[in-house]
Amino acid sequence: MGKKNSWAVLAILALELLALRLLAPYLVTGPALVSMGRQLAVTGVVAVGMGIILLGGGMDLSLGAIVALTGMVAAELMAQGVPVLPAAALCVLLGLLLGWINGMVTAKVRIHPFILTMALGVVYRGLGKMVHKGMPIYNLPEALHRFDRGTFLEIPWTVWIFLLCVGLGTFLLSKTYLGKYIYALGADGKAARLAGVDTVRVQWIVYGLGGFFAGVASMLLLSRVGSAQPGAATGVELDVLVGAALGGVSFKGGRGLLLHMILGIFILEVLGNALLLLSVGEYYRNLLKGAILLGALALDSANKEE
Amino acid sequence: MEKEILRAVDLHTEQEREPLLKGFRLQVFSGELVGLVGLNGSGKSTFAKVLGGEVPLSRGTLALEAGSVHVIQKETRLVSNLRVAENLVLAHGWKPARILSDPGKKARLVEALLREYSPRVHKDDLGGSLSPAAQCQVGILKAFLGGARLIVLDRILEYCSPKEERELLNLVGRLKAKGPSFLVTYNKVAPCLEGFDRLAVVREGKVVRTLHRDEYSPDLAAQLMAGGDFRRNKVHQAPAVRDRTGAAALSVEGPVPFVLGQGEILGVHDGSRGRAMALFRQLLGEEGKEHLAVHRGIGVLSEALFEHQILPGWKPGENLLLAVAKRVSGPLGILPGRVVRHMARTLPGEMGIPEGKLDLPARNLERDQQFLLALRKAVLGGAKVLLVENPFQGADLVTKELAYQRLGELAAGGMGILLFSGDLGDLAGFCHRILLFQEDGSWSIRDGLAMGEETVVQSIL
Repeated sequence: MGKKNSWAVLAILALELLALRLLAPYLVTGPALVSMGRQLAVTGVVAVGMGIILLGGGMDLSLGAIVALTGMVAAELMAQGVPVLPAAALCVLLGLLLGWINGMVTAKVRIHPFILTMALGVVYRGLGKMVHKGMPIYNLPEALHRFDRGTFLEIPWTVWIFLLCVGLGTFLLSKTYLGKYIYALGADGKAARLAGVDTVRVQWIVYGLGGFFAGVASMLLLSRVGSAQPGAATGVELDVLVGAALGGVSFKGGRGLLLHMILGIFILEVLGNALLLLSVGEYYRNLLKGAILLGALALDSANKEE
Repeated sequence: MEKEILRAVDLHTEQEREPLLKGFRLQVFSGELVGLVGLNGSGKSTFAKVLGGEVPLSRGTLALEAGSVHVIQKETRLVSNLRVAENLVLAHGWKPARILSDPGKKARLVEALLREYSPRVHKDDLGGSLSPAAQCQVGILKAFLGGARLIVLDRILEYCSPKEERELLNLVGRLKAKGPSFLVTYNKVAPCLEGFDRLAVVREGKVVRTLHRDEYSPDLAAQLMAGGDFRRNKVHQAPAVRDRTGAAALSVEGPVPFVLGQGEILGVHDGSRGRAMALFRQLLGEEGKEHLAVHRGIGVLSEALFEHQILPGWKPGENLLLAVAKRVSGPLGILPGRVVRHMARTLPGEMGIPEGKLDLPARNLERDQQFLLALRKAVLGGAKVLLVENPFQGADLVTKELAYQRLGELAAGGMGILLFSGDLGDLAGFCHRILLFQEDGSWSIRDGLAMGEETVVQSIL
């Protein structure tokens, strides 16, 4: 299915870019595309984590809340005088820990991860609000802003980090035994166990990685926005899931490619820009997003035996 | 004159551009019991699915009365949280006028039907609590109640114990006398086929010959099914035990203690399968922790778990790679390219998987190739002991021969094998020893090689 899907996703993206080029030529230039990459870096890095979780047969609706909570904790640490790098590292580790907790709970409690992680997300949002009594944290260190403005080969560091995360995720899934185990867990957990795979441990790792990438995304968001908001990244899961559906990553697990999911998110971003140009209101954009998700889910269901 | 219930002429079907039925022809008349026999993949179940409306025809004529055919497949189940009586009533439809004119009539009818034809099933049993064979019996009654003129039993007998098979065919025989015809698919040659009115032998998508009751002989049926000069081996001799006095391959404690030697094949038989399956589960370990058994060097090949033995959506090579992935990985868990390539093409090729199927999902493999793949996967996983549960159930006669052969080869190489089967005839003469569970709760270990047909009958009785 890989090759066929790759062409389909690339064809949709090419068509979109062509349409955008006709509508607004200045939006399909090198610098404009780099800027678009910068905009979707946060969603993209969350998508890497969600992609790994989806391929492992799971679902985590608390990733947005983890982005917000880790961001708030990092900002609070920085406000207390902790240097940027240790604070950022600690918060990425906090993301890993929260993801691991999600994995542990979903492995132990036999309730659909959709419901469980939604509940955990509410808990994390609550904790995020407790960090600074529900208020945003401003005046973050200058080093964060410098990082956001910094470039290498004329491409912002944010985009490099995003690409690095995509590369890491793709490498893990395609070139390591853990990747095979994740796909096997998503395809059929019992079959994986009969092949000797400790599926509970793999599930912990999968969710842990989801939290880890959410932690990385929260640092990118902090540097871009320049403040920490307890309500940050609300609804990021929906964008990520629409991207997954567009990229052909199965919500039942075990089928799809991370790269396709990222392309799916890119397609969504380009579409968003095009609709903005056409002066389509936010309500309609959300409606379209939901319709795309529904359509893609129907396709996924129809292709389950492919 | 007997009335024609079904006429299939020159049927063709395709799946993923691969032809399944290729000029299939069959007629069934009222009150007939017709067997549709052939190896797995020959087209029997495809025809049953055509009758059930699951597979579309690409060409041909199928003449039958609308709503007159009821197909019961291996996977067909009753509604699990409804009682048997409620399940049966479902077949009758719901007509308020009829209920008002004679309230309770349906319930009385259902009760009488169960008492008459299936006395071991109680009307208040929950659908989900019945064994698959009992569910099938109720399914047949449900079809009968619903007015089916032709009841198709697809791959049902393959998964029944000899006792369940007798009960089911007895029910079929009694209902047949009341009018409906039966079409039963089967993939082996077995004594029960002697009781069929006709046998249509299917090979490569078409009926190659129809045998009437007086023409039937097991050898002729086997040859027609397999094609060429296929010969059935009656007794499969187990290889000599490598080292009966040496280290045990497996020591089992608990209510049924025994030691399995290296290179030994120990059969386990239990007519009702309950205790044998309990032993199987004990050795496999707690649900959800089966990987621990694999790490202890226990490989599993089980009919009950067959759908989980391989990942059907993965290519054969990917399935094999999964079994060794962690062991062969280098630093950082990276899979070496040469191992990936070896597993993707060379090894499946050596196993006899055709070149054209190496890049297709394993679900496209024939059943015997899937069996080989699952077995190889278990061995690659580092198994020193194999738990083999009912490998012959659902296997056609060619796959059965292959299974005997491969298990013998593995035992000759020193593997300890525990072979569970609900049919003692599958074990006698092949296993070195047989652990027999009796109906009274006792158990004994017998010499399997010395066990002939008479001993088998005595042991069952």
